[in-house]
Amino acid sequence: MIILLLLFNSLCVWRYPDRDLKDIFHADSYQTVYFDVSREDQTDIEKKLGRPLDSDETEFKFYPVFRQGREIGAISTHLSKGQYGAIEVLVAFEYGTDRTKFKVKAVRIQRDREKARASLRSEKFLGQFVGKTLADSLKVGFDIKPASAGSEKSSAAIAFAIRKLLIVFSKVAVRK
Amino acid sequence: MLKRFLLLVLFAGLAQARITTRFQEALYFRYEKGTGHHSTFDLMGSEVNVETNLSNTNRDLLTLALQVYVWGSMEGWAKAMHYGNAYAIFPLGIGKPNLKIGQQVVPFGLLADYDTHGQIFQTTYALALGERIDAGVSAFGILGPLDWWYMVSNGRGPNVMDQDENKVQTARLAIGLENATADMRFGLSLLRGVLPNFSEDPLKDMMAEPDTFLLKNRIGFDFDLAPTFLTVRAELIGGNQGQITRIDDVTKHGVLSGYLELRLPVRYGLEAMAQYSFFQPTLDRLDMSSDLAAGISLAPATIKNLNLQVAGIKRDDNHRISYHVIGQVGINL
Repeated sequence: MIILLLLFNSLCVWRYPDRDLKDIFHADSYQTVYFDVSREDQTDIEKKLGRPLDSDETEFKFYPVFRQGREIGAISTHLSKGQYGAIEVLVAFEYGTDRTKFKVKAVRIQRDREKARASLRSEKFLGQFVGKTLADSLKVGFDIKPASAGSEKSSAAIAFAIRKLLIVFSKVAVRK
Repeated sequence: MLKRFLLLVLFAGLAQARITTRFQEALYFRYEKGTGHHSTFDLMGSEVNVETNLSNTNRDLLTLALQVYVWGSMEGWAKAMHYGNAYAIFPLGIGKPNLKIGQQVVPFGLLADYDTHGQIFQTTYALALGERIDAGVSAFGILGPLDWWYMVSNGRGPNVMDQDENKVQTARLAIGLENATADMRFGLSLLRGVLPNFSEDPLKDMMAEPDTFLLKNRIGFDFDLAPTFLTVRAELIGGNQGQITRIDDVTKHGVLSGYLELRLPVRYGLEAMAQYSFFQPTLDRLDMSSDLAAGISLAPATIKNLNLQVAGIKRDDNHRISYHVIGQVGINL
């Protein structure tokens, strides 16, 4: 449960790599991969997302995970804007027949400052994202139910972070 | 022969490795006005952080981090407590220890997980320990539900040649718990070694030099509690200076410090914050310095690289009361 607290702070830290790798994937290693968002990527991502990226979202960090040398999925973390502060969202993707065919395997909240903390972290809410792919809109009130009454904004922030990571990872996945 | 073989292995490994390097720049401006002092406005520090990650086909092999102080008004020991990180982390594998070699933050108390760099509020490390960053070797990892750290360092701060046989040992255990209502983290830290000792806090007076270097024994209890949206951080450090040869050495040469910080979000990017800290250099006298502070921290949602902090501080330095206002702007480029 060690936090790799490096000097950099603009990207969301991955707080519990050992625990997450063991619990989610039974994996034995991971890599750190940066994705620099080019102007062309940005246009495409924003078109699919329906909203502009934040000014500091010029790079994303992904962690491909391996079991016995075989890449089986990837993890990414993202800071999303909640109602009262940043929500640290962790998304795990599992690969299908190849890495371009991926879906959400698990979602965890590392840190948040929301009043609806318990419902936002509940299996009932986060479990809705499992199995979702790029083809899903992940819109709260449409294919995702809010965590609880009054938490629509925070629920939407989490869904938006997952949707964003799905889109960005689709670009990472096609790269060697 | 062995050297050649090792070099061959090293170069072969590097040829296979993927290397990525990232740069991040930061500026910290500060305004301060205190009782009996004229107001000041300074660029406290401008810095470049470099992070290099080296990985092979299926795992990270090494992370290098370097914090370069470029320009600013910080100097002396205050600068040495905020600048000088230069280390390499070697992850040995999932569930195995990580090795960290170089100049790094001492993993004692809240310092292990809470990055005070860039904050107006500082924990009591300057007086209670005498340093924040030190040159050494550390290992950290997990042991069941516990996080552990162990570090051996020089006890002289960063960018200084090791001048003696002294080695400071720091050990820490922490446990993180979470339930439906709170995230909690409790830590126990131990430290022993010769370290700089200040009678004036170098974070308040940058010209302050250590009076001496003393053998320090420290025990620290800390917790970081986040019940719903409130954040509470606290730390209590006790110990003594020098060898304990008589029972009254504990009180004669005993020290005690405490730190309590509260942060309450008002809305996204805006939080109210408050802090109380004290340091008692000898337990048998009532001499004590303390800070009581309150302020706000603003990180506008539209300008995510900017952080503005403003705090009012009541400082009690052994019954000499002074009031201060500090405003700080941090910009990450």
